[in-house]
Amino acid sequence: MDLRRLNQPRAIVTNLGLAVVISAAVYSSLRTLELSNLSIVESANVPLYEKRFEGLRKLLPQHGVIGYTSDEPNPAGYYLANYTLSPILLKQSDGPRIFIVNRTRDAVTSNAADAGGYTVRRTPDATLYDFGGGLMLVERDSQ
Amino acid sequence: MLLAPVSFIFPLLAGWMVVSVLFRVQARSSSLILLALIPGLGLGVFSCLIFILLLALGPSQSALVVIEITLGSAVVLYQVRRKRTLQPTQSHAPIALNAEPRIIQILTLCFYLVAASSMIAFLILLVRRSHGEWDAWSIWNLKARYVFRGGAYWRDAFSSVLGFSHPDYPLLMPLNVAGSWILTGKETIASSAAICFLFAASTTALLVCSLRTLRSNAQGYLAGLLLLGSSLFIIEGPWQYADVPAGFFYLAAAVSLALYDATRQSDRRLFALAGLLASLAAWTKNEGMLFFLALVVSRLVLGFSGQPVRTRIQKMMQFLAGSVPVVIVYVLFKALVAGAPNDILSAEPRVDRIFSLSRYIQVARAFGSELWGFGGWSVSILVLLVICLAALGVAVDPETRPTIYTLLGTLCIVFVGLFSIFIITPYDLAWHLDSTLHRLLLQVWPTFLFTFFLIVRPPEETLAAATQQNPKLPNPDQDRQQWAH
Repeated sequence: MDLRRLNQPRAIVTNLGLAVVISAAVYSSLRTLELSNLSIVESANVPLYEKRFEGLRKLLPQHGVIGYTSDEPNPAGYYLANYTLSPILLKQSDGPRIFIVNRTRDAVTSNAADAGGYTVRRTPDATLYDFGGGLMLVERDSQ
Repeated sequence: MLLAPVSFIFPLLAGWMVVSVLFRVQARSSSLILLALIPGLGLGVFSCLIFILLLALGPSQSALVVIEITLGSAVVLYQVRRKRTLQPTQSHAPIALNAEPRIIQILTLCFYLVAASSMIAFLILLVRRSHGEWDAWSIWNLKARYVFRGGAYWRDAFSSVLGFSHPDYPLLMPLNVAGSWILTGKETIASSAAICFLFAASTTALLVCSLRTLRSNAQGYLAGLLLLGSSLFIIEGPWQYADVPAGFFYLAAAVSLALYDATRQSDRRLFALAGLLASLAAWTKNEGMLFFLALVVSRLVLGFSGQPVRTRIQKMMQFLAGSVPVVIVYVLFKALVAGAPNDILSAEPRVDRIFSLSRYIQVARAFGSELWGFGGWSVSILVLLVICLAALGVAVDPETRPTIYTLLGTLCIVFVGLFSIFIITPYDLAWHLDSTLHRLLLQVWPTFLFTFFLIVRPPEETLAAATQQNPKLPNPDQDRQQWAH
């Protein structure tokens, strides 16, 4: 087989080859446009998170490390809580004196957190700020 | 949101300045390459400036404004003086569209249609995912927020508490976002969205314009169609990840290298520019460092055929000189700021992983499957590339041969490097391959297309040869002669 002839395609082969590539690109591009218009499920609804933590944010110190506990099975909620509450650093533990409790199971049954208000409760060794919807801020008494 | 465009004035001026010094162009077609390089290079310079500002004074708005006004004025003055001394350029005679074969006209038209459609899809996705996807809010924009909101405590962004956000990751993306917020004093998601758009648009423009200059118009449009037709490029861009920006710097370094090789009296400044752009890839993502090292090794071994080792090393010094400023910033970051060593490289060495045949098979299968289905095409991209090759043939310009050898060597080293990373990864292998491999391939995709179309014969030439006519090509030699002055 003469390889040089393979490297000199006939005009019809070139035209056909280019037509196939152009068609594939146009089709793919139009499909992408169509996909972009569909409501694709995002990995997380960031604005919803920002709204949920809006009221709690006002009670937090300017900077430093506080704790964070949650019932969420995947880490997205923890990452988003950091993203939303930065520059506060959230440590996944209830060890720090101040920590957040984020029970997302309760979020669907109540929308109290959306309002940004909270109720204050006392326990023997801590003050509990309940924002509703499973979101709480716990401040242990200084020892 | 309205202030966001103001924050990009300085990066664009900085990019204009650096490109003008290192890339003196007179031909009209290569002016477009210069324009495509400006945003990315400017954002690279801007992020380095922000890093130095943070180290010296913290996120000070007033200091940044003073620095930007001073440097910006210097850039404008330099450009005005330079414009006065430049001779008017000789422009090409426009190519008569009617003289082109019909298929080339269709190709050109389809490229612009696909470009318009891609831009609309990109913007829709940007608006819909205004905060980006997972890595955007867990790594890149997260760091930007800690730097901007933290004030004097900006180093909290690299705290071990945020270990999940990879405190060792380079800072080009987060510092551009944070820098624009520091400058305007306001946090807006428009900044990160605009940066992503600039990088995606610049990558496309650079690929098309460079191939139009080095090969032919149709070659540029064909490569552009294959880039924009890859839905992954359009969909991942608005996620605000760093893969498209890293891909831009890989491509920009490759293009600078090709222009350097293509000039008869190789312009050292282009080689230095290639070094600068490759180092900015390392400042964008850790994989960029792999690309940078691969490019250096590949150039040394394959890019100077027939020359003694000493001459090769001497020539590489120009490349390395261009990379020095960013390498210094990179080393400062790793030594003074990065909160933790790299998670994969610092993991406990497990010899059993290296000798596990099943891991090699699993990674090889994943590479094969990802390459076959890459880009979300309805036909495999590999089939389309073979069709291009069969329809056009192979024709390599002797001047760009060193570039082609260098880039093929670089891509091989990068692939071997990525393969090895997966072999030793401490994470669950299936999860790691599934979540990252397509993005790693996306980084090298524009550079691969550039290399591929340096090898494939331009459509105009193939059609002219087939019909025994003289092709009405823009004369690449004329362009090359006009680059250096």
